[in-house]
Amino acid sequence: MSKANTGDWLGSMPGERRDLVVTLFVPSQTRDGDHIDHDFWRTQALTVMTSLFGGATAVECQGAWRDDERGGGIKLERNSTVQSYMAKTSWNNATATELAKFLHYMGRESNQGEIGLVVDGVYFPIREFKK
Amino acid sequence: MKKTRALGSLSINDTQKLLGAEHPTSIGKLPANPIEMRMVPSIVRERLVSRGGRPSDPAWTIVRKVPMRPETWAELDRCAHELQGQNVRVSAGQIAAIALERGIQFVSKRENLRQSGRSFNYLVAQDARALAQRASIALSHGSLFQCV
Repeated sequence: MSKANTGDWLGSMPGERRDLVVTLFVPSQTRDGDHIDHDFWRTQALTVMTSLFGGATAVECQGAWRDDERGGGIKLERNSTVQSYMAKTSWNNATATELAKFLHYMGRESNQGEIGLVVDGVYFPIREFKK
Repeated sequence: MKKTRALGSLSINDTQKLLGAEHPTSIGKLPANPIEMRMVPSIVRERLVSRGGRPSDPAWTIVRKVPMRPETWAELDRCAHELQGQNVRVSAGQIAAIALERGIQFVSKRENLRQSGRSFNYLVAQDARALAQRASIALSHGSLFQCV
């Protein structure tokens, strides 16, 4: 099937390809290991990213990692990853500024050491929440 | 990392500034299907922590042959193996480079202190100074010495 006919065959909307991915990691603990309202922050992230980019998907899982700096203890944590697919033009000055406000708010209010955002394969660590 | 690549309508630099983020790291494409998406946090952590090679200081741009005793190399090798047992990927040569740099830093610092006259000028009683000198001479000759 040729590329040109696939859209017609599926009856999909014409327009710019939505192939830029923004991925946000929603925390479940503070930087000191205290639990936070994970569901609340995941819903907030979904709401903000949907309003900015037109849609978002959250996937939740249990993660574990070995803390080699503290005697190799196993740390368990709940993870949620929120992803949005968008057209390249949707990642712009206005949307990045709005998303930054939310990320800084989440980082500050949930007492995080770092909030991580991946934009098209590039990881941006946010460690100071001043916006 | 090269910062000229565009992310949508913005450059990496612009995105970093707008987000108020630290230095970004390229980690490559992430999986997008629902099953693999569950593994995204661990994939990102792995890619951020380890690039699969040995840790190296980017300032190490000169490679030279340094002669040493076999026992010295054996000791460096033992240190490297001990660290490798703790999941630190490091070679005996890298430990040698670190030891050399730290040693030179230590010597330079001591030399600077001596030149600025801030050390080795303690007030010491004359008899104690004499005892110390005698001890030093005796030790340098490898003989026994009774201080008191």
